[in-house]
This record gives sequence, C-alpha cells and structure tokens, in this order.
Amino acid sequence: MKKNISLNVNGEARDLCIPPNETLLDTLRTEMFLTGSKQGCDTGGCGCCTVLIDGESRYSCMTYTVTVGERNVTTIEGISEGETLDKLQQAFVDTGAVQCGYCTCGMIMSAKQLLSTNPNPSESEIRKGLSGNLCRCTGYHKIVEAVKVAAQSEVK
Amino acid sequence: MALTTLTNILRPTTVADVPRLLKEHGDSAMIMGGGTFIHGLVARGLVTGVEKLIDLSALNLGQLELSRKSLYIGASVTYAALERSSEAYSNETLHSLLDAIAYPPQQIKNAATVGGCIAGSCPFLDLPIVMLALDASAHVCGSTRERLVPVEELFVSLFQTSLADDEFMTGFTVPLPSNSTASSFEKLETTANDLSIVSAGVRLSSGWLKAKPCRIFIGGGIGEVPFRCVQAEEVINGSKLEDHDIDQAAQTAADEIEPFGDHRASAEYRKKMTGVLVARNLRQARSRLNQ
Amino acid sequence: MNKISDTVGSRVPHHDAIDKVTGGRGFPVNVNLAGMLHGRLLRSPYAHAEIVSINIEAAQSLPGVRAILTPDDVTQKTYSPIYFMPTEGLACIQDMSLMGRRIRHAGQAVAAVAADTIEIAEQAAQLIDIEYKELPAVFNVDDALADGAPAIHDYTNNNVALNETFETGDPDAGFAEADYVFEHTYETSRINICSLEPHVCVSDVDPAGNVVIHSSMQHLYGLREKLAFVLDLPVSKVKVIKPPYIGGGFGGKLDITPIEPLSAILSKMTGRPVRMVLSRAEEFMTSNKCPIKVELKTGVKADGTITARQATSTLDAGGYATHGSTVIMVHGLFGYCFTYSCENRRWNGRSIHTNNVTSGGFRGYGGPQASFAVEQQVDEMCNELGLDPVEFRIKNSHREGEKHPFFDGNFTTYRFDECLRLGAERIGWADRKPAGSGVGPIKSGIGLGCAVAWTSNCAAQPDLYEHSGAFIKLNPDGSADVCSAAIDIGCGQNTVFCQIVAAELGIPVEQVRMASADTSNVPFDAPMHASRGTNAVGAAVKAAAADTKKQLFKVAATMLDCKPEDLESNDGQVFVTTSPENTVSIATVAARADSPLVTMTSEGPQKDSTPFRGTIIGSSSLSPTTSPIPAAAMYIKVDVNTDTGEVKVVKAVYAHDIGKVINPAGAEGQVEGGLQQAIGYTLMEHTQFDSETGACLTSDFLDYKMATAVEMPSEIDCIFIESDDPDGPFGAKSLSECCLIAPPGAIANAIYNATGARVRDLPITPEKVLRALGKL
Repeated sequence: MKKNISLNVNGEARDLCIPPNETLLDTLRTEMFLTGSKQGCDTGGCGCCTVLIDGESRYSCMTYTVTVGERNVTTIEGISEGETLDKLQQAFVDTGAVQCGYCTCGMIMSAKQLLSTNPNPSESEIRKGLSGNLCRCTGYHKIVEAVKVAAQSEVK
Repeated sequence: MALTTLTNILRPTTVADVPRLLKEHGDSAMIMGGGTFIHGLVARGLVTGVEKLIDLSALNLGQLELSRKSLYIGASVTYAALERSSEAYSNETLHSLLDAIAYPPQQIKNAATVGGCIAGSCPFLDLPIVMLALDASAHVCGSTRERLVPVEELFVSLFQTSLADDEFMTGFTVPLPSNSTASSFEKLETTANDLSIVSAGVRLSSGWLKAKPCRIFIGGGIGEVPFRCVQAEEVINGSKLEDHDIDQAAQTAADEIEPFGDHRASAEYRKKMTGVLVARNLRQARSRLNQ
Repeated sequence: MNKISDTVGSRVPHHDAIDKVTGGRGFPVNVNLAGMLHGRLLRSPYAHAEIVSINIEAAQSLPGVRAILTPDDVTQKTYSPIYFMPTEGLACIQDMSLMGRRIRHAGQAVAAVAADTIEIAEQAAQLIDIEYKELPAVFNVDDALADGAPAIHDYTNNNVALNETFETGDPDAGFAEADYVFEHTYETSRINICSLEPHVCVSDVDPAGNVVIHSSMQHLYGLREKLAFVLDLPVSKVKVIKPPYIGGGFGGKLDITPIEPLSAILSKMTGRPVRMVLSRAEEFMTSNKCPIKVELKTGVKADGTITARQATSTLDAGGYATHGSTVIMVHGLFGYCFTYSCENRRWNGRSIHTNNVTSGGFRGYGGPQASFAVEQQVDEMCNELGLDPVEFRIKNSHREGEKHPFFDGNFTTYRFDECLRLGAERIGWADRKPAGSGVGPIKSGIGLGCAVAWTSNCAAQPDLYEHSGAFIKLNPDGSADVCSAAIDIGCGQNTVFCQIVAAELGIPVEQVRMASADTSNVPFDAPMHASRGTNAVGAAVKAAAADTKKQLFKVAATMLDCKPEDLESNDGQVFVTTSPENTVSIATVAARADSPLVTMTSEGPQKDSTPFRGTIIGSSSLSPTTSPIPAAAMYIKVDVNTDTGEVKVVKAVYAHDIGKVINPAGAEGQVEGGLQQAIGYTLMEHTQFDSETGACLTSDFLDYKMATAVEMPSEIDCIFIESDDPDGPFGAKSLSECCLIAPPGAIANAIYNATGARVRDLPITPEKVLRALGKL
C-alpha cells in the first residue's frame, strides 16, 4: 500500500515511503518537518497550506503526495536565500502585513505566483490573486500593500 | 481527514487502460482529474469505499486545438491552461468560457480540469453551464466503443452522469457555428471564493431571423442538474432581440424555474435572480454579437 | 531629545514578523514532542439525549489505540469553563462537566481516544458503540421558554440561565416626558471566530510528575486554574507553557474545552505526550458569537435629547451557560447603560438555554450586538425627526471629566465629539444624498455607527481577574528580557510591550525581547481580552521597566560619580541630565553589575568594582484602579445593487479616541481587521444549524462565507485622536474591540441611506435587502 517515491522539495530530492492517501501538506509537515505550510481547514478553503508546484500555487491539503511525481515543490522555507529574505517576505515585514501570522506563508506563496505571471498587478488583480487565501486578522489591507511594495521593488 | 479506504492511486499510460481499470474495480474505483472535486467530496464524507483513484495525468489529454469549426479541449486541460491560452481561442462565441474560468481562486484554477469539472455532474460548478450553453459534446471512451455525447445528455442527477461504468471522457468539442454567435456566463456568489448561488450561461445567434435557436442554461442551487430555460429561449427565438424581448425572456426564465432553498439562499431569491442573470447575460451576449 | 517618539508612536515591525514570514515556528500547532500520541473526540450526533450504554471493545482492539476515555472514566464535577474569572467565582454558573452522560447540544464530547496516529484515533472513535436515548430538543429561545419545553438543566426555571435587571432614575417618567417614543426589535446572529489556527493542545508529564501543557489559548493562568480544578490537582502541579504567540483568538480561546483536560488525562494514562487538535468542522461547533435579540425603546424630545431608554435582551446560550451569562451582562451594561448619556434607564437581560451549541466569547463580547441595535435606532429616530445623526450623538454624548455612570471614576479623557466631527469631514458626510439617488441599479450611501464608551481593562468589574505583573532583566550586552504571562494573540502585543519597555528604559526597541515563560516563573496576568493588553499589561511592563531603571541608575551613578536622580537614559546610554557628555552605555553598566570584579581591556583584565553587584532586574505586580474610556465613530460608504441586493463596502473612515498610539501600523491593523470581521458579521457570516437536529450546516469555508480580499474596500482611513490619558502607559487607552463594535450599525445605516431599505436582523443578506425594498 505504501509507495516509494522521490519528492523534490525546495531543490532537494527526498526519498519517502508514504501511503497513497497522504496529502502533500501532511508529508511536508510530518515527514519533512517543514512546518511553514499550515493546516487551517484541510478542505481547500483557507489557503494556509498553499505551496508552489512547478511555480503554480496549489492547496497542498488537496494534493496527494504520490501524484506530485517529478515536479518541483516550493514551500515558504525555500524562497529566501540564506539570511536574505525574498522581496515579498521583506515587504510583509516592513508594511506590517503580519499579525497572527497563520495565513502569512500561504499568502506569500500565492503572491509569489501572482508576481511571477503578472509583475505589475493592479490593486484589483492583487485582491483577486489572493482570493484563495483567507485572513482573519489584517483585513488584507497591509497584505495588498505589501504585494504592491514587492512588485515595485522588482521593477527597480 | 484522509480517504482511509484508499489503497492505490493508479496512473495508466494509455487511454485503453482506463475502461479496463474501471471494469476491473467497479464501484471501488474513481477517476481523478485535478483532485479538487474528489477532495471536496471526501471532506464531506460523500465518498466511502473508494479504494483506487485513477489519475489521468499520464494520458496526454491536455490538448487545446482551435480549428475553423470547433475548439477541442482535452479532459486534463486545467482552468489555468485555458486562461493562459485564452488569446488563441478567444472570440465572441466562446466568450462565456473566459467568463467562467475567471472566477475561481488561483489554487483551484491550477488544479481543476475541465474533464473533472464535467464528470462531477454538479450544477453548482460553472463550466458545465458554459459547456451546455455552447452545445459542447464529450468524447467518451469505453471498453468496446468511442462515442460523442452532447453534454446536454450527460447530467442525470447530482454527482451522476449517463456514462456507463466503463466509460470516461477524454475531451470536449465546442462547436463554432458558421453564423455569428456570442455567449456569456455570469454567476452570483457571496464571496470571490464560492459556489454559485445562481449562475446563467447563454448563447445567442445573429441569425435570429432564421431558425437558429438560442441556449439559456441555469446552474447553482436550482436542482439536481442544470436547468434549461426552454420557454425563455422561445421568447428569444424569432425575436428581434430588443430590450423588451430580453426582459420578457428573463421574466419567463424566472417563472419556469423551480429552484430549491437551502442555508445559502431561499428558493424565492434564486427564482428572482434567475431573471436578473438571464437578462444580464442576454444583454452581454447581444453586445458581443454587435461587435 | 524626545525618547518616547523613537519607540512609542513608531511603526516598529513586529518582533515576530521575520519568524512568521519564514515559517512561523512558535505556533502551538507546531509543538511536536518525542513519542507524542494523537487524540480525537467522539461527539454526540444528538442535541438532547442520555447515554444508555457504551461499548469500547471494538475500538480498544484496533492496533495503535493506546487509551480510551468515556464519561464513566472522568470526574463529573461541574464548573464554569471561562478563564477570566475564578472557577468558583460568584458570577459563574457552574453547569458544565468534562464529559457527562447527559447530552445538551449536538457535538458534545462523549469519548476520547489516544492512538499512534490521528487516523487511528479517528477510526477508533468511530468504532465506539454508544446507545443514546433521545430527548425532545429545542433549537430556539421561543421554544425553550414555552410552557412544557424540555428542561435542559435542573437548576433553571423554564431554561432561563440568567435573568438580570438594572434600573436607574425613573424611566417611566422619562418616557412620559418624551415627545416621541421609538420601539424596534433587532436581532443578531451566530458567527464563528474563524481563527485560522484551531484549538490545539499537547499535554505531557514532567520528571517531577507535574502536568505540563501547551495550548493555543488567551490565558496562561486561566488554563492552569481550570485544568487543576478539573483534574483535582493543586495548581502547583500544573504547568502551562506560554507560546511565543498564537494564530488568532478573538475571544474564542478564553475558556477550557474538553481537549485540554482529556489530553492531560490520556497523557497520564499512557505515559506519553498527547496532542489534540480540532478540525475546522469542530471549530464551527465551538467559539461562536452569542446571538442576542434586543427590544429597544427610546424616548426623545423633539430636539433630540434622550429622556429614557429601555432595553430587553434575550440571548441564546446553547446547552451550557458558559459565556452566555457574562456576555449578556457586558452587553447590557456597555450597550445600554454606558452608552449615550441618559439617567433614566431600565434593562432586562436573559440568557436562555437551548440545545444549540454553546455561545462563546468574541471581540466586543456583547458590545456589537448592542451597538447594532442602538446605532441603527439613532439613525431611525433622526430620519423620523429630521435631525442630523452626528449632532444627535454629540448632544447626547458624555463629556470629558464627567462621572462614569456606573463605576467609580470619571471620563478622564473623552473625545467622542472629535471622533464624530473629524470622521464626518473625512468621509464627506455633508454630501450625502437621499436614498435611491442616481441612475441605474447601484445606489450609494454613507452610514455612521459608533462605539460610544468602552473599556481599557477590567478594573472595578467584580469577580473578574484584572492584575498583571512582569519581570525584567538587563543583559551585559545592554538588551532587556521581559517576562510576562501576557500572550500575543496576533495583534502585536509582544511588540507593543517591547516598545513600552524600550521607551521607559531608554534602550533601542530591537534590544528588548519577550522571554519564554510558563506558570512557574512569571507573575499572574489576566487574560489577553477586553482590549486590555496595551493599557493594563502595558502599564505593568512599564512599571517593571521603571523599577529596573531605578537599579540601573543606582549602578550607573557609581560609575558617573553622581546621584541616581541626576540621571536620564536614551538610545542605550545613561547620562547626567545637566551634562549629557557625562555618559556611559547601558551595556557597560549592566555588564559591570553582572560581573563587577574584572573588566577586559586592551591591556588585559583590570580590577574593577561597584558597590552594587548582581543582575539589574525589576518587577511589578499591580492592578489598575480605573479603566480609561475610548470611543469611536465609524463612517462607511456602501454601494448596493438594487437588482440583486448585494452590498459592497467601498470606503471606511474610522475615528478613535485612543489616548496614545503606541504602534501606528499595529493600530491600523486592528481597524482593518475589525472591518473584515464586521463586514462578515453584518453581511455574510452565519454559523447555521439544522432546525430539527442541531447538526451544523456550515462546517467548512465553502458554506461559511468569510470576506476575502475582494470584498474589502480599498480605502480604510484611520484617524487616531491622542487624548493622552493619565491612566494609561504613555497615555494609551484601548482600541481593538471598538473596531468590531462601531461598524455593524454603520453598514446597516449606510444601506438605508443608499436605498431606503432597513434591515434589523443579521446577517443583512442580499435577499433581506431585496425584501426590505419590496422586491421579493
């Protein structure tokens, strides 16, 4: 029943032996101790589990790990370079877009896909681009601002 | 919570494998597209006893081909792929497709496939309404035969299609009629990440003085399967598509539909909104026709 | 040199922000102990029932199951689960037990399983065979109060858990004196806290045999006290670990739930740590805002002076009293007695048992339920009488310096009128158009709603915990560690405390840290609730910093050859006020005090001494004697689609008498987040249950609609009025709950201004708008 697979996460291949019904979220958190991706609802409704698969944002709670295959998974742990934060991470810190922080990693991963396909989004495109991520603390206001700041710092 | 009965996710490499697997495993197997629908069903405890999922991703069903007469969409094409290629196929006829794929959040767009969306037979989803409005047909593959089934003949009841136990869909053909047509889709939702309260998809034809029928379909909390507003269509067919025709068609649609009420909305509200959405979509399609 | 403005009042990034954007290690949900087992609850499918028999054989024999608990295995003693009052406090209704054979709401815990994995625990729970005898159930207040209704508790009369009345002045005379009397009924609904981090805990036993627990909660000491009570242990045998922060509380993590005691018992039974976490579906059955129906009667003179007010509030508490009985009191007092100035008041409030899920705490704690009624009625009265809603409020407002209507003390600072006027100007109040103006189906309107008089802590409220303490120590590098039991629930409390300490001590804010803590090594603190963090805990950490500074100056004085009272500190330096060039770094002073014998120099170790040896520390343990009163006015602009009834909030202006802004980004964040909750509360959120079985109908985010970024307005304008209250640290009062109290009335009033549609029950869904317009 368990399958031997090789999973590419943040540029590293890991050999794992996991059951077919295990979600990518559970694999990341419990097998690989990458706790940045979080469970908020386990039903693809809140976005706290958002990771990138080949650059595309996905709900890791709705993805069976064995179906990922050779594609590259990127989690929040994989986007900074050593001590240097990714532009989005830095923007979230600087604008005050982080309150309780539970939605933050998922938001950043969604914003990462948004900026990679739309480097200079309008405010409504940002809001729409984040519509799959819920936040209860911030009202999204400074999160939207942070994405704008990150987009502008890319342009420079 | 996990699908505890799942023992294997099969990944066939040829199309012929799929009907064979379906026959072999019967009720204990289900086809999985992007997985969003299956996870939704699992989360609500609506999937019990499934031991095998059949993952179609190795079958190369991701083609998107536009010809003079039609658009072919492979069953594994995702919403995101449709969006990325939209310039290649966007025209007034197919505009409702663009309307529908704009709605879901990005994480869903990246995973959800056209095939999975249709196979779910769920009127709360958006693509089925569009495919009905556009008079699409499904390419169906079984153990002994292949056939083309109008999408209109697919939806039997909630979560139940008319496909035989060993059949599955490999793609969809959306016709591009020779005369000028235009389509529109719009839905009412509470937030930007929601199933439809009510949705409407319409296709209008400029040959309305000739006998080219329009198509008006409603989705959302309106029944087990999408609803075709036959009487409203009759108001439009043979009309000059003026404002009063549209208003009358909208009222007729509201009159002929009998939605249900639930914790999302009452039947009365859905009835009234059917009229509002039919009017809006007819107007939108009409303005696209005139472009 | 204004040291305060370098830290207090500046947009210091959250101290936890870098951790949170790179993964967020500190959440209780991440606690992972070696050998940890996983627990799951089995919950009753029936809303009102007696357990007849329990068979755990099949569950027990499942491989991987380590322990099972049923009602027969646990104490049946009853308690009130609320953290902010002692278990046996006078105001408590102690009607809840850990797990009983009598079921009073659907989803009540009936068994607990600890197993190797969460899947095995869940499977085993489902294998527990329980036979129930169903009892007739009631799912609304009217049915619960009707003759012949099933008695849900033995101690109540007709399912009335609480029935309180207040009266001041002479309301009947007041009504007789009125030129007009207005009567309306308003109803609010259940919404869920939806904190993205669910309730989670991990229990363990330490080498000394103490229960040790990690939990996503809002009160360190509350959990200890309640857990010790339920487990029949002295509090000294229970240790609660303070989390660095939690993933949201909003008032919904202010009580003990079954998982904390059950995980502790399972941990003792198995000799292993046990983790229990609620699924999102279970969260929707937990921590919902109390639904309250209000009948509001107000008498006014033609010029708008309020002559009398009478309110009758009925709250659906659900199966157990829990927060229902305390929310109703806050609702009554703050909603009708502390609101617009009027001597002649009568209020009756009842908390009623039904077989619905228990009602919990949620930001505002009864305040939003009252303001929805009061603020709409003001609007309704003004529309009838042709009065301006802003002037009406100012006319009936309290005044600065006035005595508080209920508590000892005055409105020491109170700028409600400024909030109203500045907000009015900013939103363009004077340019409002009559309802239905403009062409096309979209109609715009502006509405006003207020938080008239709130609290900054729980001073003078009998029976509630309201004291805080803190320890501070200075390190040889000049940094300071602050030990406090106060939990950062997401608002940025950690950062605010560090800013206050930094400003008081005169060290850069980056050099102040909140230390890890548990109930064995920090003074008591009341919960993180009631908007008391900045004002009450802020005062405690400020006092501890002042105490630390005394010691710092004592040591520094010996190094600068002066007296301690000659000294000042700023930016990491201590200096003589009259000759600032006479200075020494705080790091040097702290290092000297910590290790006075030898200092390393370029010439090698040099003998050194100071009469004062020992780490420079300070402490505080205090409670406020007064509670400064903030106030707020919210102006909201909406667009209403009169074809569909859909309402979109397009702009908000929020003016708040805050005393002092410690962190502007943090303060704005409270307004912005509060508006998201208010938009949900007013327009779309609704935890719904089946009216026949009590089963939850909205158990995931697909069915329970919470505002996404798309539903929020682009423009949220904050006006903070710094009235500089003498009873707050650096003048600070409170903020957060007002951000959910002010908006709902504003949104409802804006809808009326746009369309003429008046809706008096929440949520104001599109179809209610259409009905109010006569279109449905």
